[in-house]
Amino acid sequence: MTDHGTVEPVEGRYVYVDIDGTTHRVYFEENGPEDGIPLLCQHTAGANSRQWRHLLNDEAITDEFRVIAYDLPYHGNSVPPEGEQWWDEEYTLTAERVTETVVSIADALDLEDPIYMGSSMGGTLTLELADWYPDRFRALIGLEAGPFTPGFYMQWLDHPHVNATEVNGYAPAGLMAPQSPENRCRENVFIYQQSASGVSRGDLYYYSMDHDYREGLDDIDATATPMYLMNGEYDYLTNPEDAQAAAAGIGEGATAVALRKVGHFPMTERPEFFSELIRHVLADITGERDDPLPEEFAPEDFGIEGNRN
Amino acid sequence: MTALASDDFWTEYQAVVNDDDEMRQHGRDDFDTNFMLGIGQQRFFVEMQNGRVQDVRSPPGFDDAWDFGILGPREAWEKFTREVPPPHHNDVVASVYRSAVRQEEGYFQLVGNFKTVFQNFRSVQRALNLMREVPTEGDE
Repeated sequence: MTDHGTVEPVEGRYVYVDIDGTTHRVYFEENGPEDGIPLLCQHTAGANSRQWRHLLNDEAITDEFRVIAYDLPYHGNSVPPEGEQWWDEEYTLTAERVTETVVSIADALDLEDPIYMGSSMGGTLTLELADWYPDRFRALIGLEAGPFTPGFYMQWLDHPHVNATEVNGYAPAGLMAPQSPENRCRENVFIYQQSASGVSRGDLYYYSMDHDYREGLDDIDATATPMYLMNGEYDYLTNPEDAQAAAAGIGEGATAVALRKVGHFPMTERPEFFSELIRHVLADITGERDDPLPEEFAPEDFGIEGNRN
Repeated sequence: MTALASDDFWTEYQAVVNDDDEMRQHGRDDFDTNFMLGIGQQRFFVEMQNGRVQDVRSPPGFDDAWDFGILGPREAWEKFTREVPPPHHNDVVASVYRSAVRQEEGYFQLVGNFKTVFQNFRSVQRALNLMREVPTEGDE
């Protein structure tokens, strides 16, 4: 239990970002030294930056890195853009749109050589970013990534006869591992339940329809910008085999690491484990680590016990 | 300790579901959708009224009507009902995804009216997860 009166060092602010000619008011939270290496964190489909709250408060990371987590437009505290009749249109996120958004946020914040990290659609997005913006980032960390992630662009996520709050919240519940602490898993469900109508489904258009690198992995060159593809074994959408397949297809510069006893939301469902493992990955990026990363990380490697084991 | 899908199992299961606080939350007293479970070659009709299991009987009779069913090999159900299920057997959507989208063997199939499933999503998911609360001989 955190002491009464404790104020977190995390600061939330707004930045105005040009996306396809329209200015968007984008919310972001950050913690860490101003001159630290920027670590830009993308939430999952239909969620928001709250998924990164543990990393934002993790001194082991924020001593060296400037951790920044943002809400995409239409998510969390980032309202839809002024000057557009967005209510007349179906919200649909495309690969082109989301990559442009991420790069434009990095530009608006004037981030020099940032590391990008995202989970789920944020993880698959490392493939498009590597392909289309190969020089913009120092490294790309794709959590729960894969070349092709079909099957989740469902009408039931935004349907007048369905309680979308329940479905958007609990459809992803089974993506988390039974070993993850229940209060962390339930909080992630709660975050999902706060999504506006149609946003989760619109994000999943990118994830399950527009994102398809089954024939495109050769187009990605990770030799200059290293890629880390790390999937949880309880992630039924993109399991460790999918990360291995993607890394093998990309070739040199792409590393796959399996995450045991965790699911689709390692930073949110099991933050203690994630804190430990991500330090090794960041050390690999900064060159502080000499040995290659292991093929897998497990909570036991760090003495972390599960909800159940 | 009971055998999965034995009479004793369903008796205990009924008590667990009907005593579960989460099954009561957010208007789930309105969960009135009967469903069918296919466990290996056996078929079980689960009669739901007011968010409560009224009866589980096998096989379903001519008078029984249900909107959807979840079918799977007995091994899939044994994995699903373990206290710590193995990956992709820990949730109904997880298991159905691996069979329906990834075309893999050994997982659940969802049949019937999917709209009804999603209209009652949390109730269905919770009711199935509560099968784990009944200790079975396959538990490790």
